[in-house]
Amino acid sequence: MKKMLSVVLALVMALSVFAMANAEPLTNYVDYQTQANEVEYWCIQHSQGAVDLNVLCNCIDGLLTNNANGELIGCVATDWFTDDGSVWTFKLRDNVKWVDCEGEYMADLTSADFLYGLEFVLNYHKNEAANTSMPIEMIKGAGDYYEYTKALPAEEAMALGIDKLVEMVGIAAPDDYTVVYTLIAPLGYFPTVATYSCLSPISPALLEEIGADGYRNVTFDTLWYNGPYYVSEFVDRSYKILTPNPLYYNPDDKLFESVTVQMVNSGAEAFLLYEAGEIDNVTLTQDNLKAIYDNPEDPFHDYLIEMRPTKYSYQFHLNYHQKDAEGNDYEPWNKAIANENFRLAWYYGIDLTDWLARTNFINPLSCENYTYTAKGVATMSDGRDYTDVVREKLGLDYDYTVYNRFDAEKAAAYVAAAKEELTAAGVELPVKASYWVKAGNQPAWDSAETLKQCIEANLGELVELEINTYVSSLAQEVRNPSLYSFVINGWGADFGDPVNFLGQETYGDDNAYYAQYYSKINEASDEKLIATYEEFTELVNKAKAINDDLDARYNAFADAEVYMIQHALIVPCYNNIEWQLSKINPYSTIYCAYGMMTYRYVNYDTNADGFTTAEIAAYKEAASAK
Amino acid sequence: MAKKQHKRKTVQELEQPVVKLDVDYSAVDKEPKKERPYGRAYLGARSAMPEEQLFEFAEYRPQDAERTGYSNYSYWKSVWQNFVRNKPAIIMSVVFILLFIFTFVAESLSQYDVATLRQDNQSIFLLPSSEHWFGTTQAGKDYWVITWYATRVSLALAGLVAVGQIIAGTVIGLVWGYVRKLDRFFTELYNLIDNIPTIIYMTLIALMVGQSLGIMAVTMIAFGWLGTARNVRNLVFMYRDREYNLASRCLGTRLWRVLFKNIFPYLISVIVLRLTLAIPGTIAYETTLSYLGLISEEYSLGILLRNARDSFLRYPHMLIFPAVIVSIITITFYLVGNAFSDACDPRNHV
Amino acid sequence: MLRYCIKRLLQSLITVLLIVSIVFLLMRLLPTDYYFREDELMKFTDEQKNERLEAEGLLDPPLVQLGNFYRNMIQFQVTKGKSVVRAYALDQYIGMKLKGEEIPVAKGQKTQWAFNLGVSRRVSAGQPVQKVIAEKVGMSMKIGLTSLAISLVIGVVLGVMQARRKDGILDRVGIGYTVFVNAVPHLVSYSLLLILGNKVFGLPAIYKARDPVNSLILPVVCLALGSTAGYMLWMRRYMVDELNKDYIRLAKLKGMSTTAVMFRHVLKNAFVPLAQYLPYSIVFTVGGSLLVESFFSIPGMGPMLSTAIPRYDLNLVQAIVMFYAILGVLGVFLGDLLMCLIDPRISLVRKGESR
Repeated sequence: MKKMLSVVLALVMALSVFAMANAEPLTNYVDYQTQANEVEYWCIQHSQGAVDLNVLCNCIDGLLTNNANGELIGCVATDWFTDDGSVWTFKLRDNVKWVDCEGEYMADLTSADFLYGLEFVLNYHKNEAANTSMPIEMIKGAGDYYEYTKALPAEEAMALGIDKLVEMVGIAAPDDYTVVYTLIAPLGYFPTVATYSCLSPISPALLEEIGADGYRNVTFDTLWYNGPYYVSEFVDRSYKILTPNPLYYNPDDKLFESVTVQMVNSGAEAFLLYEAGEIDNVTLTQDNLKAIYDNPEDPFHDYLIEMRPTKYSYQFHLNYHQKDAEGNDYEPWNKAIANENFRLAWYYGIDLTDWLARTNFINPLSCENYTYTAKGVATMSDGRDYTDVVREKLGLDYDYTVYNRFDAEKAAAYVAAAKEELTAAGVELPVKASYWVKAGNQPAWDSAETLKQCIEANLGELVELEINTYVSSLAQEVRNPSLYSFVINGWGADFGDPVNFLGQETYGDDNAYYAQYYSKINEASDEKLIATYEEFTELVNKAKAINDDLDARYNAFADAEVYMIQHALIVPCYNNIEWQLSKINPYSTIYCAYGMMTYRYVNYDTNADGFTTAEIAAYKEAASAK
Repeated sequence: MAKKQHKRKTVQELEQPVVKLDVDYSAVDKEPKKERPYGRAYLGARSAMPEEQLFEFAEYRPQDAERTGYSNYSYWKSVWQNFVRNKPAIIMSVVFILLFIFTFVAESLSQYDVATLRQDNQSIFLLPSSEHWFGTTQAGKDYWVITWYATRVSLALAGLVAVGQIIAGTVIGLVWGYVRKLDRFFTELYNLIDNIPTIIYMTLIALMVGQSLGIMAVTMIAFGWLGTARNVRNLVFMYRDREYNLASRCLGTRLWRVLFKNIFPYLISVIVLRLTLAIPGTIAYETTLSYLGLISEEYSLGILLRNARDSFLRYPHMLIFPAVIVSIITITFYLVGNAFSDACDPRNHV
Repeated sequence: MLRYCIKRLLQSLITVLLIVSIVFLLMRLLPTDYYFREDELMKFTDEQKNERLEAEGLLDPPLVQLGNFYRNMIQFQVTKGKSVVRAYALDQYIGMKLKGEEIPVAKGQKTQWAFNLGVSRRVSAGQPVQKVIAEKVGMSMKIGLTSLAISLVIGVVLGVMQARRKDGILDRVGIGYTVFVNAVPHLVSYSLLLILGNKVFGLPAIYKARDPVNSLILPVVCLALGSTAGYMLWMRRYMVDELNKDYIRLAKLKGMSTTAVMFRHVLKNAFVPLAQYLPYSIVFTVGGSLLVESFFSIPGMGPMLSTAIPRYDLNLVQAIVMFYAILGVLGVFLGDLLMCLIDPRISLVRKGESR
């Protein structure tokens, strides 16, 4: 009944909004990116970076894509099915064309194009080992083919066509408009992989024209396009213009007459541009947000929009094997963090509200995040989100009034226990914990200082936070020499399954990225800690093995995640939800917790005057009622 | 920016100052302050008056005749007299000295203390008020104490770097100018260092050694001596073989005396000028470096200015306070430097 | 004269090569992880990273890499369409020719000689670096030349006017201006100009691709600000100094009007030293201005180096350094030459041995 009512209410509100909104829609959309996010590779198969894929997802269409609710929908494929989960068949459209950077017809797309695409990815000499991990893990024979090409002399490997691929790898094109993938093991989530760049097509005619080497270093003006837009103009570090593809296969998709992506230096600059009407959305920096929010007279006061969550979920990744600047083990921290009471004190004793306000000044608590896996990655058959299952098991809820995880009493108890045990172990308290931010990034530094206050408020007896700066690369300067006590890092999935997240944290696995490179658990020596990690790893492996029943799989993953969180091996931290001004309705854009489709400029609902806070609230209501 | 300062740089040119081109226009207005009485008035009078009215006989006065024989000229006294005559420089010096003293007092006037400032989301970007005299920052901290603290940091850094650069530059410049065998070597070294953009060194050092104001100061000294050294070298070159120096040497004057009494006065004006200009230069350079993320986060005027850039269109107080203080410092040193170097120049001592 | 020029150019070439080599080796001191983007580091295994570095020859010893860099500067390329199929370094090519081997060229392929500095790795991945630089140069030149012309004209005229009415109101205002411009950090004066231009005249606060003319006004003004002051100060000082010289006094005594003296003698002479620096200034407009271009987000040469270094785009860094070094050397050389051409009293050759 309650749900029904809210649906009705939402509909009424939405309708009234529609009635009010007689503003013109946008026909030419100007988006922006900061300078650090300029395209580096135009070769979609070569790229795994969001900076490239944010543009290329408009240009090269693969098998599938997502819609505004995050559901899978067809792209070049219209239909996809499997019998046993290990052989997947994709039926393709027959009207997909390749065009060049002037929108001129170049070739038709057939199923062979996907074979050439995979061949390019797996061929060591052509793609230089980029983007191989997912296909090698999933597709039969892919790893063998990779090794085979690696052993070949360069010239020979560059000359390979798809014959050898078809022979060795589980991919086939029974006719011009069908592609079949054979997997190593049944994978229910394989279609979500089909949205990602590693399975994108290449036109053999283009390869013929510019060569494999030329394709890897392709530029926008030699690339061929089969997606909704082609790039008609590109000035590095300045702007790029996307023009609708005249031969685009799907007439139902609503496109802009042009999309310009303007490059800006900073958020502050972006705001100036929005004010001048030069760009059509802007994520607000804290000072502008505050100025607008505090001043009812401000022209933008009624236009503040809270963004939807991104696909990234941010965690405290604790370092179990910290070193000092000389390369010696930093024992105080290593001993402290191996102590479970210490970790639990960390888990219960930090009220992050003030720190979240650095990201989201108005509703800090909408950034709260209590699970490791991001929302929307997997859905149970009853419609519940996977993370809701985890939260129920954890007994935590989002009520947006207080920071729920914080529990002063429990924290005090754990602090006392940790203090006793650590003092007994000869650790001098408070332990110095080092946290690193990029030099020259004042907002990051300010946030770090707030974080220090949040941590020391209740854990002051245990921890003292030291803030340090690195010049250019966190990985090189801090992570590899293991100088940090913890990092806060966001992880986003490439495809839709919790293994994307939990698989990164298992013990004794070189491919478990976070465990290996951030937690450094494989180098830790505390037996109790390792035992805890081993138990967690076992839970994950158990879940990974369940392939026939998705609900059971997700439940098993949820158990593993709850175990991990309750032992505070990784401590969930926040979601990045900022505020913006926008002429785009965020509830009409592609919204997906995995993959690369977020910036696909199709079917946008727009308003040339900008959407108001009230309008977006109504859309939000309507979206959550669904 | 930094590129523009050193204009002459080829081997050839450094070796042989072919024509003496006085175009160091970043530098001083060296012209004597006193207007000399020839020129238009005199020329105008010439045509209007008969010749006998133009001239008159001077009477004989013994004390005047005596004066031509003896001058109580003292170099430093003349310097001081000349310097004091420059009103703007004196005024700015007084302002700056007051400012300098105030930086030590300012923080204790406020109820806040830099060491114990806390981030506060409720009070970010407050405008100046009786509570916060300079308003608050993007982190909700009191801007008054931060600004004054930063002023002290920047002044200390600038002073350190300037002195370091000048000492290194003068010593290297003297060797470069005096020891002919080393001329080629130093010229090549100069060309190399000068032609590789500084940002490359700065980045590499920040990456490999680390970053702190101390390291940055050392780096800036290590690559900042070039200009002074070249300048000193050219001057040594110019004066060492002048007739009076040759004569001095022939008469057996010791080397240190030649250097100190005959050449050094000419160097002093350049050294002082370089020293005073290095201070605003360092502050400006620090701003640029903090832009590029090559300075660790401490409060300094450069960093405050950089931070202000994102917010000054809405919160002008973020720009105004550090900008005014920076301007007072840099203008003072600029004026004082020029005035002092004018005053130091023996050609201006009449 | 010709001999002098050749000698001088050869010397410059050595300087440039030294600089490039040193920068090349300096940049090789960096650990190899810097070649990857943060997200690539996340997704690549160590093995993958090594494979990729090996494929690009980045694991060779630095001196070998330096050798390869110079060897490949001039390449004989076999191309197909727009892409290069194979390339031969100059010595390889000569070696093959000497042995009488033919370079295999398949049907549809073409051959060409090309100047090669490598491709950009990160800033515009896959693009030849000279192309990346060429794209930026035009914009920097446009702003640079405009502001140079403006500041030269205004600076010289104002300087002359200041000198004529020395200690007058104009002179005092001019001195105040030069002090302000020279003493106050540029970031502050640009900020003030930005506020003025944006709030009062409604000029764009940053570069807009769709409105290039209006959005370039503020950058040009900012850029001209400093150099105008420079020319003013220099011109004024030159004039004042010169007006006290004997030949001027003589000319005046002989009855020449002040204006005539100014233009016939002083200004003409003033252009001699100016001639030495003008080519340098003109050449260096190509180099762009770091602060102005990043302050207004102009897609020019200025911020290229500071973009390329933190991204470890080594080929690009190399090329830019080489570019700047050549510009510097060339600017001074042209300056000397021009000065020598307009002033017959100056000879570059004879005095070379006098010391």
